[in-house]
Amino acid sequence: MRTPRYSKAALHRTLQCCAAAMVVCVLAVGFVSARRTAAQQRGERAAQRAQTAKSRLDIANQHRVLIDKYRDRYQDLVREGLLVRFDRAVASDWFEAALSAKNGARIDGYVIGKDALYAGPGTAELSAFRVVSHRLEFNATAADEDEFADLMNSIQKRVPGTTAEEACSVTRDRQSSGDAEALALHCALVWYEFAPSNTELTASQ
Amino acid sequence: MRACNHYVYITATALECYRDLPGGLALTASISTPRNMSVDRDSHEVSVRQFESHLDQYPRDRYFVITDNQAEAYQAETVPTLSRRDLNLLLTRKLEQRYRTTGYRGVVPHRSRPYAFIRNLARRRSPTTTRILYALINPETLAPWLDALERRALNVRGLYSLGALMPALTMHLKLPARSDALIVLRTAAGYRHAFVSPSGLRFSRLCAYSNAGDTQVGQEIDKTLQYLTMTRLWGVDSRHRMLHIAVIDAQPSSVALTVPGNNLRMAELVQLRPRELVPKRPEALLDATNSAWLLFNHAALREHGFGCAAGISLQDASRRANYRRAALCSTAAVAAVSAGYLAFTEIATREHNALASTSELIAEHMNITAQSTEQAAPKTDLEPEQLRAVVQTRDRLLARSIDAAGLMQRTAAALAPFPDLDVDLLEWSYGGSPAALGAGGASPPPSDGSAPVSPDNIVLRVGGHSGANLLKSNANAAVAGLAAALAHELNGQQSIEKLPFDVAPGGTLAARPKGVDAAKTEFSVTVTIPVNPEHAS
Repeated sequence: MRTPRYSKAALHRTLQCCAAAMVVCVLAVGFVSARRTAAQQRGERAAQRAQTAKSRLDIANQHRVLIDKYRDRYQDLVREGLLVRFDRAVASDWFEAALSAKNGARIDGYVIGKDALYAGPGTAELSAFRVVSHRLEFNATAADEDEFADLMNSIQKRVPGTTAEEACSVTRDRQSSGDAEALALHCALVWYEFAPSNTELTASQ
Repeated sequence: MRACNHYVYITATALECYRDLPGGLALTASISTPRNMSVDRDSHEVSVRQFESHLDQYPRDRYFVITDNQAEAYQAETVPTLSRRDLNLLLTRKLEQRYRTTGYRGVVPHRSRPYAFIRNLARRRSPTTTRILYALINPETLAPWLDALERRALNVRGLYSLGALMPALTMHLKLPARSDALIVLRTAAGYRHAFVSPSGLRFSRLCAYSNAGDTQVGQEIDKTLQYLTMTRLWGVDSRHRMLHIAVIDAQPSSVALTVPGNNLRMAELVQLRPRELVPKRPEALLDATNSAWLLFNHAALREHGFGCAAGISLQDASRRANYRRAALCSTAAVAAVSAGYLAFTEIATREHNALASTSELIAEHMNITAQSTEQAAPKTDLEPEQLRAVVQTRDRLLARSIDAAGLMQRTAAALAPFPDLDVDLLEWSYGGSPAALGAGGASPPPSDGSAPVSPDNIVLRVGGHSGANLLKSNANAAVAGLAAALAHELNGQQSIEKLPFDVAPGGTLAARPKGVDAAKTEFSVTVTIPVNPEHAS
């Protein structure tokens, strides 16, 4: 005879089955939750990898653009002597060679000063080289402003390297007896040298 | 097989089983039983076996056992108004005291009148109610059938007397509110009388068939009315409301029914057929003699709970069925929720996996593209950023060169409107005062040996003296005008360092009239010119 549907044994069995079913449900929920979490983590990792790859591609493209834009110019500058180490004697020759032209002004004397690191705002991005400045100050006499302009123009054009005429003082000495209209000049010319980043300045320099 | 409501209708001479099928109520078994089972034991055992075999066919049904015989007792009890729990305890104790010989006992459902408690207070009556106790007083005749149900652990939802269920018929009679009714129902056992007041059933009796024929109905109604009057349930004192007598019979009497009455005993009698009461008609039962099936429905059983089966082991299976149903429903709910969650999560997981796969493909593609771009890029001595930095820095440094000719031309243009001012000194440099030029730079070098950071300004100084014929005030004004003209011409900011004639509050002025040689007429003006490093001059 079959066990009655609503007997104690049947109820006990039913409750056991229900409990087992609930346990199975809980386990299934836990399993799929774990799968979902794993899928989420996989998605996050993949998104990070994609972001990293995108950054790498952007950087590569930027580098390619920079190389295309500046490589030839840089090589030209190197060929022109951008990276040649500064030598005061050579610089002195350059300066005197620039003065040999017939420009009328008379150089009384000049001094090439100590090396000094240049750390202006324009060099913040430059890490491959250190910019070293070499200041040349000279005194000269010119008959008038045109001679002075010719002198400065000649220096600017003839002196090689990265140079800048950064300061000048023009004085007209009206009290002098010989040349009442002569101009006394005191100017500064600065060479900028691109030295390797491990360059150290020494007192002898 | 689908579980249905199964009604077991027990009379003194027969047992009938009805099932509530989707198509309507249907008679599924009719078993005759010996009136005296102690005399005809073999026949009784055959009947029980038939019943058991019938029960075995429907193990899932919900069983309602309804008895319709004379072995029942009704007792009115006046009880105080108590809480529900105390009232139940009190009524249970009274039932046990009143009906010791049977376990099949119960309380007729009571319908409280609205605001009954307040009405009693207003009438200065003690707050009491009258409850009707009833019992099936011959349990031996029911025991074989109920034991068969209990042995099979069938889902027995209750045990009721047909008379206790009869107040449900008042719903069909459409009686006026607060009226009394005497309902006469023809059943398999005879004519079942039930006196129903607004508070519920007050009295019920079964009149077995007699030899009186068509006159039996009228005679029995007269007897019942006499009993009601005698027991002061109707027709006395304040209880002389209109009595509605309804005779429900599929085969009405051929003799006209009359009700004896007077001024105090107003009665109205109507005869009804079952087909007039129920819209959904079980056709096979409509014209049968037995109209007890009118009460085999949920509406009639709703108020009664387990009926006379309350508190006995017969209801254990029902309780277990409830537990089973609750457990199955809970499990089904949990399973449904889990299935929904599983489906939702599975969809989400697939979406995440699809997105992850797409992202991985994109990452791989971009990595390959980046690698090819890197490999295709020309080799250089420096990093690309350093290439740019070197070139741009070199351009900026070159741009620091100040165009002396241009500066002097602009200065001359600014000086033109002031012919009485003679310029003796012209200085320019970056940053600080050009006077520091001779000291080695625009500003003092820092202690660490690095060159001073040149601000992006060119400082121009113009020095000279005013003409001898110029009035002192005009000389000062000319210097001020020169400073303004220089600032305008060079887009800078002027500053007068020295006027030809000191007008400061703390200063002094030393001069002699017509003494030109002794006068100190020097002036000095500076202009600070902001420059863009990209365009230094």
